[in-house]
Amino acid sequence: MHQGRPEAVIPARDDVWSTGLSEAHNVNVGPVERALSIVSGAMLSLSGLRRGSVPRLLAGGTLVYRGITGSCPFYRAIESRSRISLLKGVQIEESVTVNKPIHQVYLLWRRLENLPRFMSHIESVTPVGENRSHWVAKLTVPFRLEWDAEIVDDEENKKLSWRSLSGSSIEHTGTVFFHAAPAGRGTEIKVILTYTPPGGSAGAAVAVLLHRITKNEIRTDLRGFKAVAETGEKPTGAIRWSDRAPQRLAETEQQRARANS
Amino acid sequence: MRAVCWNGKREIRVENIPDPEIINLRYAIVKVELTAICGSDLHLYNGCIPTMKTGDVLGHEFLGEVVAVGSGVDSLRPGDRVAVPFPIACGNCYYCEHELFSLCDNSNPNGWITENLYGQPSGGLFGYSHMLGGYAGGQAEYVRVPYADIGPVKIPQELSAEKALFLTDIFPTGYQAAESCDIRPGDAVAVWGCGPVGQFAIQSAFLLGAERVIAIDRIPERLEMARSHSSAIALNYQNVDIAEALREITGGRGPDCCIDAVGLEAHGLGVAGWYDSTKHKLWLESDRPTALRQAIYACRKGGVVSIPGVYGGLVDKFPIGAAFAKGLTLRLGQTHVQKYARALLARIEAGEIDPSFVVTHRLPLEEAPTGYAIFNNKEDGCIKVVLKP
Repeated sequence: MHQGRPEAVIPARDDVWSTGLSEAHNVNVGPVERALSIVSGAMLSLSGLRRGSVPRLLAGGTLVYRGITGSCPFYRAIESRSRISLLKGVQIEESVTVNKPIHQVYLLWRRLENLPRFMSHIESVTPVGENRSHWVAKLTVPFRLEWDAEIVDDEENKKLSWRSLSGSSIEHTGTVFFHAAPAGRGTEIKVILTYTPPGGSAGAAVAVLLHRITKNEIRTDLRGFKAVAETGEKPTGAIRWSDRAPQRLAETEQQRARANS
Repeated sequence: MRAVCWNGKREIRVENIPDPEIINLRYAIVKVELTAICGSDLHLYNGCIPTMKTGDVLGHEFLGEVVAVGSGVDSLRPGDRVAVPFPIACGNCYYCEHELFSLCDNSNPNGWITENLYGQPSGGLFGYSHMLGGYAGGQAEYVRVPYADIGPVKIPQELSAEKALFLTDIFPTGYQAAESCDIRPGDAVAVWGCGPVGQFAIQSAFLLGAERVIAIDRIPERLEMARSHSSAIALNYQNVDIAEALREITGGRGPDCCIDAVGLEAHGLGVAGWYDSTKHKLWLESDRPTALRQAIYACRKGGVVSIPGVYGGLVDKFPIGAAFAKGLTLRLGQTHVQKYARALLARIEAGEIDPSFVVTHRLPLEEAPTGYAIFNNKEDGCIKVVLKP
């Protein structure tokens, strides 16, 4: 769009945090759009004058202003929000109650290789030795992002924490708290995930991943975890294998074998 | 297979679509013997329910033969004849464990949509929009049934399909509406809407011990069915002032229980009717609560207003003051069919009720578009359409 969408390479931190109001920095509307903005704004203002319509006058005036200055406050609001949050990375906190005993819920998380079954941004987690695992993010070609992580805190039935090893292409931490819900209502879990671009600048793949991970998505993922823990499967509206949302082939095959065995 | 597909507002087509497959362990595939068009399908037909997509298979009332089961289903085998409840329920979550099956936590893969709308995700339903799961429905030759170990109710071969079919929705829905009223000896129950759910609410109210049931509608044949089949007192709201008539009938007290079996597409009369239909057309109000307003206004003090009629969004001029002043109890929500179906099957087998009395039209599946049109327009005395694949 203008000045590149967040998927593109993100400038270093200083650049984004600077509040310099130089004209070059302020312009966020392309030349063609500026011209169109002036023309349409002028027409709207004229019709507003003729009809005595204040809203038309105001809207027209705004369009003319952003055409002449090349500075659009709406674009700026959208851009600055997404950029700053991308560079800070994302931290998401979500809770869900699972109608299963605490130990069962803990064990399902403890085997981190289960994560791809419900975390839609994770392609695979492969154990590599004691407490270490290799993670691959689910991104479309040509983007690719993988890292190694280790479990740094493991209190049975209470807390599980892991973090990416230093030097990874993305800094990732995850913590899950387990808590027995009152009166035998299962297990409350609270999940805190952070993804941070290392060193304050992010490559395209990191930007794509950060852009994907939203609170809504993690909440939906946790509902998927809950469904797997409670019912043994994730619900789907699909009626045929071929309709399923893009899915790991190996898992589909495994599932097909299990379903038909 | 052939299936009844939604193609937009009042645009229903019978199309060829691929047969369903066993995807999850707890699936079964059912070959449909008989299916029906529900009054709530008309909300989809009229475009009142968002998140429908072209090609979606409609229908949530169906009965048929199990032809395949996943490895996780022990309770069914091919050849079983089953009626399938319209709410999809996992049987494992808190709500299912408490027999609140239609509130299932796990059955709706698109729960985030209703979570944003309603604060919590709702369960999945067959053939009822993507916000309720995007599950292909039962107006088809075959249906994929999730959690098949929980929902389907086995139906004896000797019982006719028409008698058993309505265990899937409208009979339990009418029954739950009446049961929610906590009917006591001597109670008068007023029922707004004499469509199929209203008819079963009337029957159920009598089954549960109501003294009198007052049926309210404007369609003569529906009122006639309520009168002749269930001995209800029938009131046509186009001819009488309902509030006044209900006072008269109940010695000035008002009905002990009021059931709104109409829901969001109520037809209104006079200024209020015009107000609601105008706001609805301007998208300022999603639901038209004419019947609900009357029910709250008419109900006696301390009474129960039970709402099996479907509501989806926001209503305007909701008489909360009347409900508060009279200390009313409101009971509402989708039906927990799995909770009632087996007990109601026993009542059918015992001859206490024959639910097939509501059927007025029997059509082949291929004529579903005609079925929808006459049911929607209430033409040709249409009260309930069943479809045979």
